[in-house]
Amino acid sequence: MTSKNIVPANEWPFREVLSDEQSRDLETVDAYITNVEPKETNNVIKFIQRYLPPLEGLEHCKRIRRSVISEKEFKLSLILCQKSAISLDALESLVREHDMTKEIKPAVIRLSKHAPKNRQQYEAWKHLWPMTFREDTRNDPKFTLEELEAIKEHMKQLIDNSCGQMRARIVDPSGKVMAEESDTRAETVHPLHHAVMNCIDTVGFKEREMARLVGSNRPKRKAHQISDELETLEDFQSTSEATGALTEEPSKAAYLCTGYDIYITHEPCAMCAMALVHSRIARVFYSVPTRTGCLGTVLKIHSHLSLNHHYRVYMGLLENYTKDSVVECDFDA
Amino acid sequence: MTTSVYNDQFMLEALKVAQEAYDNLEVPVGCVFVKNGKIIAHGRNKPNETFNATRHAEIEAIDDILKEHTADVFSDTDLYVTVEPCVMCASALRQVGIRHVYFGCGNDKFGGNGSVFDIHTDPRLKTPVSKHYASEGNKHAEEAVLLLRKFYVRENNHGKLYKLI
Repeated sequence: MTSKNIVPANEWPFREVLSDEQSRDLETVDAYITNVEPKETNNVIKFIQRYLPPLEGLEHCKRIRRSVISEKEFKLSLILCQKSAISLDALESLVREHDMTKEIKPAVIRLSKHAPKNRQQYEAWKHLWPMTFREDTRNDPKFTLEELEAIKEHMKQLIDNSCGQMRARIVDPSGKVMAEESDTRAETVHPLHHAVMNCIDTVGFKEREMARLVGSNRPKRKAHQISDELETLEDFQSTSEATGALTEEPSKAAYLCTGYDIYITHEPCAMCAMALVHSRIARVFYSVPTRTGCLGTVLKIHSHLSLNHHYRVYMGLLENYTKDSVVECDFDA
Repeated sequence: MTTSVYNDQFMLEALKVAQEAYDNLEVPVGCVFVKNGKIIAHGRNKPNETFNATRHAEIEAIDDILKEHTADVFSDTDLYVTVEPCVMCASALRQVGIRHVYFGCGNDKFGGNGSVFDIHTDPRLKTPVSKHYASEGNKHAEEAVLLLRKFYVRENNHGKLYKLI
């Protein structure tokens, strides 16, 4: 993969559904700062540490700002404390009491209330006051042109197969289709037979069949193996070598839908979104949002902090194409 | 439609089903669905047995019920479950139209009936078939928690044994 094949995020054929923390706009808190002579910096910091309330929840803000005025000149400013922690009168009397009136001249400034979660927020907020920001590369997914073409092709086939119904497809990392099912609530007269639940059932059924034929132990598999295994079940039964191959490298063995992607014509409901958490899905691509959808519209179940697994969600893939060919629904997808 | 009245004997029955899950190496959660004072289905966790992480106690029992009834049976049916329904099951229970849910201990990680999300009452989730339902917790919570603790201790010991061999 060469870097020139990476497609910038603003050219993706979908949008990432970010957590509220990642997508929120600037919120600020007021704080007292003071300009300070470089040689007085240590004294002022000692005063702050000894006598002023500590900065709470603002660990992302640097204590000192260095502003360049010209090639040789610069100006230093220091955060004293949050405005909500102490009144200006009380602060000024503390300054007088400790004989710092020459060194400290409080002014009020706005600071970003939250640490930036991604580069976009960092770039937008850093002009207020310098912040520490360690970019998490996991927060910066990359897609090559080829990957995007494959993703679009999966969704196009899914919509073409859907006959206007809600439909889902689970794909392994090599691009192999592991399951593809429609919503069958009407046919089976079962209110829970949504497309996503049906797909997860199909993957589970295949694994169960595998286990039954191979032996009582749950087969440890890598994410990309399961479909190949199924096609050669007879071989697995007859050769012990192959059975051995199944259990090799247990540390890399996958679990349920670990590492798989799912394509869905509609934004899933709470039940389906949570079923995908339980199944350890890696990525969700959906086309159109729904009124009760829980991956962006009503809730963002995929990014909720208390859950033990988080997956990435991309929406709007072939949205117009889907809208033309799929019925709009007033019930859960 | 008659209103729901809690009956302790059904929660004790749900705990028995949870014990059955424990005996089968599943996370010990059990439930019973009750209509007109009679149990119409038992359900216990089966994700390991089925290779399907969605086969929770509630889903197992709902599937059994729908083999013999249509979904309108749930409009005067109550659920007794040893652990707060997860977000998935909480949503499933809305969509089948359950009348009332009684649960044992809460679930801080996944709970959909108040602990993590209020799936059971969230007005934004209303559809022509999905309605809010009443939910009460803390029914024999200690027994439910004890069973879960026992399960996780056993799991960890298995992990140690596995390494020793």
